[in-house]
Amino acid sequence: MTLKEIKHQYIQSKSQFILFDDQGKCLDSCDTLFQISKLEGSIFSHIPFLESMVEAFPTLPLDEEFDFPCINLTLNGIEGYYDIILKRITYENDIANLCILQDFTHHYEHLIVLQQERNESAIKSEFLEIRERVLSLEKDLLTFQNEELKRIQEFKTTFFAQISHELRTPLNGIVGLVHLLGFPYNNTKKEEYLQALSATSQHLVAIVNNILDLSKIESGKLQFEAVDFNLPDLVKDVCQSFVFSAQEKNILLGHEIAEHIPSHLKGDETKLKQVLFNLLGNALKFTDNGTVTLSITGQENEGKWMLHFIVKDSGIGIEQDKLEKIFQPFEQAEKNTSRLYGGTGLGLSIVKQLIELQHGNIHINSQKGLGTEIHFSIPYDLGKHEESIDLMHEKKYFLNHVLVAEDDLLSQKIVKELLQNWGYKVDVVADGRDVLEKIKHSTYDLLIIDHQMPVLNGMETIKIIRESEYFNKLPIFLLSGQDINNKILLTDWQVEILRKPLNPDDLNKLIGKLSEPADFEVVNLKYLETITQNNKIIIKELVEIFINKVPVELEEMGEALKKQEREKLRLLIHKTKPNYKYVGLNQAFSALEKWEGAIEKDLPVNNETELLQTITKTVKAAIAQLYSKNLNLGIKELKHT
Amino acid sequence: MISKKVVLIGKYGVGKTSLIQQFVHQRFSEKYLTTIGVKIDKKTVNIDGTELNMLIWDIAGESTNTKIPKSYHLGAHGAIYVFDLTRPSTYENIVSELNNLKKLISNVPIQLVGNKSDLLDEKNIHQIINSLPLEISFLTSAKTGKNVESMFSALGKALLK
Ligand SMILES: Nc1nc2c(ncn2[C@@H]2O[C@H](COP(=O)(O)OP(=O)(O)OP(=O)(O)O)[C@@H](O)[C@H]2O)c(=O)[nH]1
Ligand SMILES: [Mg+2]
Repeated sequence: MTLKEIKHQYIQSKSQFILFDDQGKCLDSCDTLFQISKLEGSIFSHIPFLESMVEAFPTLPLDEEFDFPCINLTLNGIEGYYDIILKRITYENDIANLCILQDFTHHYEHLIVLQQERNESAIKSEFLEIRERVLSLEKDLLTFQNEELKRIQEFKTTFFAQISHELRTPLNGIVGLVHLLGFPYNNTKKEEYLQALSATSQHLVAIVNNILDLSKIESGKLQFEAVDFNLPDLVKDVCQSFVFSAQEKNILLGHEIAEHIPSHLKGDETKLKQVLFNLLGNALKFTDNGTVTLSITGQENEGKWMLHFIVKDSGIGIEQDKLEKIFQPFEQAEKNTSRLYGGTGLGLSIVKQLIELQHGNIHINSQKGLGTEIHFSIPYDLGKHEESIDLMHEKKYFLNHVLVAEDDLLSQKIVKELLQNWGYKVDVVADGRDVLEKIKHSTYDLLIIDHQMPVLNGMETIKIIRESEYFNKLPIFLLSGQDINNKILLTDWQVEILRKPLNPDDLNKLIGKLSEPADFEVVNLKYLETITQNNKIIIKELVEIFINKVPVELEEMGEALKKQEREKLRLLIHKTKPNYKYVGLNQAFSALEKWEGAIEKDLPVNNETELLQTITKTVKAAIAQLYSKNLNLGIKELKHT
Repeated sequence: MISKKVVLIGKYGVGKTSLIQQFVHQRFSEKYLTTIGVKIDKKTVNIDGTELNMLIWDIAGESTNTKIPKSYHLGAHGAIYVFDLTRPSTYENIVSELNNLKKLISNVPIQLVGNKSDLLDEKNIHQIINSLPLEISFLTSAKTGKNVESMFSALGKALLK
């Protein structure tokens, strides 16, 4: 065999040429690889590769070769890989399709192994990469979380360390002072200790309030009030409370308010006090032998007053680089400079936020060694001149003068201040004998007496008072630390017991009971009788109106009050009030009259709901009285009684 | 009977062969046997009463379909582009891959299929879908057979239009 022949044989044995028309009819085939020419029907049904190209054949350009490498075919039950060439050619004066199959099974089976390896390793490394990315993300997240946790932890630690330190100082002070007060021989110093105790506990309260405020500010829950207040009074109050410490440190404490500033303003009085307390407190703290002044100026702009406050001291001053940080919360705590710049390290940051939340601003000038100037401005509305009307505490007129008998200085002070704060006039004695002296010379509306007193004790004193002809009606509250054995006797004597330590609420309740209208508001038809010239029919009618209408009107008033329909409320009061006069409820009448007047002038009235309740109670009692008195008026029994 | 050529395109290992195996023979194998070149399978489906002979070209996946011989696309009536939901590399360049495909076979329906849905939970799948710039036609699982039949039928329907 020639080389040519060998080559021919080799190639020939691995390829097949097929000619077919567009319908799949085999025109010719060399059948080297497959017996195609002997197959029945269309060749398309035997070779899906060709079948899928049926529509394509007529579109193929003539004589152009289309190579399809590596086609997997199963022919005559044998699977193999073929490179296929399709070509549209002219054959016997017609157009036919030529398909050349070349068997490369051997070659491709070798290739498949390589490709398998390539793909598998590519997929594997891709998954590895993803895993690594996820792991590193997780690691980053963990690091971040750890750092955040650490940061919070550190913050908490510093914060609480600082806070607890600040709390412990006044607490220790209080414990110490209470201890000192316990020594019997310290009597002469008690007043002083009490003063210190009061100051220290106030400081403690301030710190706790600061912490609460800060948490409120942080959570956005702080609310601001708009109440009328008197600026000079407020400033005086604040400065007054620093007088003592100023004297102690030999500081000249002064304040001035520019003349053109109105004294009556409207805004959040408490928050202003808080700001001033904080700033003045700081100024005093860092000043020795110098001056601290508070000056207030300001100007009006479209009905609002922008007040400028300057708190100036001649104290130690603050270094420039620390100035900016001074208003940052916890900054001080962290840097441990709070000892220098005040309080919890929260005070100034609270001040700043309180001011800014009221649309104001604050800044600080300071020079080390020369002193500090803090400027801040807050806008206020103009306030009303009138004092707020407190109809409820008109009671004060019935209970005015109180005598307190107590030998213990601390309780003495507490009771006295409490009562004075509520607006009563208070005299204090330390012995039962003094009580008897006092009540002989002035009139008292109430006696509050301690059980244990030297010379003449509480019970003994009460006994004498009750047995006397003149004072047996004087209301008496007995203060006692222990249980009282003789409760029955006390009930007999109409003495109320107050437990020690005194709870202000208890005292307030007892005083309230004393002045409850039902106790003294008694129906009285004298007025009606006069104006009707004792016309029983008209009297009856008017009383019936009272019984039927007044409770309904009270309900309507309650509604109007709830909805804050002021004008409606005023009209209702106006309409209902004569009825009270008719049946002799003069106190209720005058309360209603004042109430109406206040609404008319748009003045604030304290405790309106309570007032309405009191009046309702009075009316109920009055209706009961009108029935029970059986006024011989033949009043119809009504459903609602 | 109407015959239509459908090509399955997509990177290696995304499950083209498995989808066809599931569709034609209701079989699935965990073992990965890569495809080389092309293997053609056929299945007759009934679409609303019309018998359709689908000639499905299972084309070996490459790293990009530009590596696939252009001739394979000749005469294709429809295409299914498959990606693997668990492998970002199989859908990262989805827009350019599809644009490429559309240049080779213009004006034919193409299904964009996310396969191996059985391997991910719904939340993950949603994340992936939302991150893709294209609308996905079907989420399939060649393993469970989920949506395989419906995906091929939907394409069949589109082929008859
Ligand atoms: N869990 C799961 N595995 C699948 C699914 N589809 C395919 N696989 C697996 O994925 C691997 C690859 O599947 P093939 O169908 O061979 O992928 P292919 O796209 O044909 O890959 P090439 O032929 O290389 O292009 C095999 O191990 C299959 O078992 C699926 O839906 N779910
Ligand atoms: Mg495959």
